Amino acid sequence: MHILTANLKHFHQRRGLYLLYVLGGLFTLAFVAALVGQRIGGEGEFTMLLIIAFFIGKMVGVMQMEVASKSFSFSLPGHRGTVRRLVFLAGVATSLALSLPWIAHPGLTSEGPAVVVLVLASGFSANLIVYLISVAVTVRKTAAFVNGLFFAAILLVYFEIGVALERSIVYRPGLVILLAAATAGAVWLWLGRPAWFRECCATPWIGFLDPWDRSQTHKFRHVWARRFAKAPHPGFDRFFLDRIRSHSGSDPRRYIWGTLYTTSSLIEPQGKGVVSLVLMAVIWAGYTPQAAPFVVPVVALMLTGFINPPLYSELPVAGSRKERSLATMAQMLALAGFSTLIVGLALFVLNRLMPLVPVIEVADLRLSFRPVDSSMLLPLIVVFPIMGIVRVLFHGNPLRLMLGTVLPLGSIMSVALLMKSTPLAYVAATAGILWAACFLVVHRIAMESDLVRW
Amino acid sequence: MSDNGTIIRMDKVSKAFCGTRALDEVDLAVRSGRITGVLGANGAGKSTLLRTIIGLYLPDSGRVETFGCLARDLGPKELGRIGYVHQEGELLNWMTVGQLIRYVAAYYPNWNGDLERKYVADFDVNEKARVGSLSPGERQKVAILIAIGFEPELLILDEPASALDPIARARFLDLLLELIQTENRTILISSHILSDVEKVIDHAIIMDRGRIVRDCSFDDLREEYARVRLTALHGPLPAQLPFAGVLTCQRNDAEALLTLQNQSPESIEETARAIDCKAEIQPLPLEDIYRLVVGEK
Repeated sequence: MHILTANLKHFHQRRGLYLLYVLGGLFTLAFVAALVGQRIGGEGEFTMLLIIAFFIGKMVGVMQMEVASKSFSFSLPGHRGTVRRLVFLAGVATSLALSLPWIAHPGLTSEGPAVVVLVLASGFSANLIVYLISVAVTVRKTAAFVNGLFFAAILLVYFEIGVALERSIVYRPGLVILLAAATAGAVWLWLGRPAWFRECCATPWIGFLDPWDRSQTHKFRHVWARRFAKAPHPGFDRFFLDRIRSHSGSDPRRYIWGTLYTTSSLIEPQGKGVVSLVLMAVIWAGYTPQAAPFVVPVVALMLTGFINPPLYSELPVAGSRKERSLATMAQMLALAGFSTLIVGLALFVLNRLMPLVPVIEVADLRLSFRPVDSSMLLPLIVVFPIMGIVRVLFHGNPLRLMLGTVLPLGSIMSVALLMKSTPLAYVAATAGILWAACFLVVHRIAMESDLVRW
Repeated sequence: MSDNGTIIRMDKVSKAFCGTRALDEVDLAVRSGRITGVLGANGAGKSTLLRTIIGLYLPDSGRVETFGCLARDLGPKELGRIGYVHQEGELLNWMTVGQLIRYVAAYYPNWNGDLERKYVADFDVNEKARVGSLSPGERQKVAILIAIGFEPELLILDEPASALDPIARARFLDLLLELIQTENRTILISSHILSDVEKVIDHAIIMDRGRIVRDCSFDDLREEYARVRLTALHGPLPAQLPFAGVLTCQRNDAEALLTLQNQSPESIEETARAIDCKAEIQPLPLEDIYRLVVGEK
């Protein structure tokens, strides 16, 4: 088998990628159909094609890093040249496919075939630039920067930057093509350097499905542990340890305090990040009220990442099955309460500070901060029991955990929208039912299942 | 605990994972005060056995009792008497080592601070380091410390020394021998490093494909097998060597190396004298015994 073909097999052998293919493919088709069918454009809409190229570049970059970071691949004969060939092959195919919708750009309706071909080449080049930059940045492991670009991409659609990009592609094709040639040359040379392979070899790299796979994250736990550089506050430890000691071994409160301690000690060093995330979400919801029903559930979903069920703890202190069950429920309730408190505080403070929050005016766009309705807290009490069930059911199974985290997002957002117009009593009843279901699932697993999973 | 000092009892216990039988109708009785080695190849069922004993796995059939209580129902009182070291177990990576030790110690009123300090000094444990930043060997040391710090009556060690360097392993074995001095303390240890295990165990359980193929005292196991170096005193060795229970034989004209089963030293020497040979009898190392028991020649 040719080495290039062997590497291409990664794209169809990884079953987890099919989810991306389906979701990404549907989105792309729907968007292209809208572009072509409705003849929209001229206001930055076509830049969404660049965003799609960006994400494809990220996926290809991640796949290459997953192989290059494995030490065995360093000595694979012929492998090094294959990386850039594969990247460019995928890049050319992607850019070609994404350049075709440019035919439907409103600016080309009265132009001749030569101009249309030139604009297509410009569209191809622009896609290639973005794709290659995405690959290059991904393999440099600057994940935060890459993820930040996601938000920048959303902003492109709202501001003149997207319009400027689109107009450059249509009206300055020569410049775009030249830039693409320069970028392609630079990335081709850069990906072929032997030094790059040495840098990647055995480097800590959490692969595509690996964040949900504890056996993989354990391998690079030393990298993750570096974020906890600050020494713990002795008073913090003393508070919880005294509470643990104050209850006897048969008192479930001992284990509940123990779980609250381990969870708090995990959140405390990351507290600034959590607060920043919540503030950003609430500010976003305030400036774009139509996004509010979606933003808060997403934040809630991210906060459920702190659920680390003591049900499956391998430390000898987790107690009997009954104590593990109670401690797991206590953890989920505490996290839900904590999240509601943090988001509620942020809402309260920002709503009170509303007269001081500036109005954003860019071109024709005017965004003013409006008070966020406290009903936005309701999704929090619904998300946690759902994600609690997902986490205990799919613990140790990375693919199912990922699906269980991503797939309910749509339903959670729909529920968030419904909640705004639903009487509080019904909301409370729904939340009660979900929490009861969560308790039953946790209890059943605690009493009837194996508590060690790989 | 039952009257005859049995603290672990398993009756016809079976456990399967996705069709693979990890435990196959296992019967076991572990008496208190023993160091029992649980030996077997990868996938033999050792970890499954140990986890079933403390109730982490629920058997598909059969009954498991630990300290007279069904393993699935082990409560804090019973669990407070059991120390367990997982194979590649998960610790709290975001804590410092000192934080983790204090956290675990808070659960045990009988935590021995002197033992903890001695262990930290002997094994060079860095209490300020993050658990997540430790090497596998250092993690294992911490895991062992938090399992022994409260001096449990039953200590279950699943591959505890696999990541330790030779010096640390030797220290760990010395520690085990110290721990076993306490009356009625029981240790179950599973390990691939049979040369280490044979220095400390007094009882052996050998597993193969989910079954216990041997469960006897280590002395009995050693006495069952013998390696005999046979040297002809005058002339060549006879063509046929009249020994019973021959498992393996390597020979030339003047010498032979035999592995014999269930032959007493007296009968071996008598047979050797009868064919005008000298017999040097040596016990087999545990590794060789293990290979013979599970059928590899």
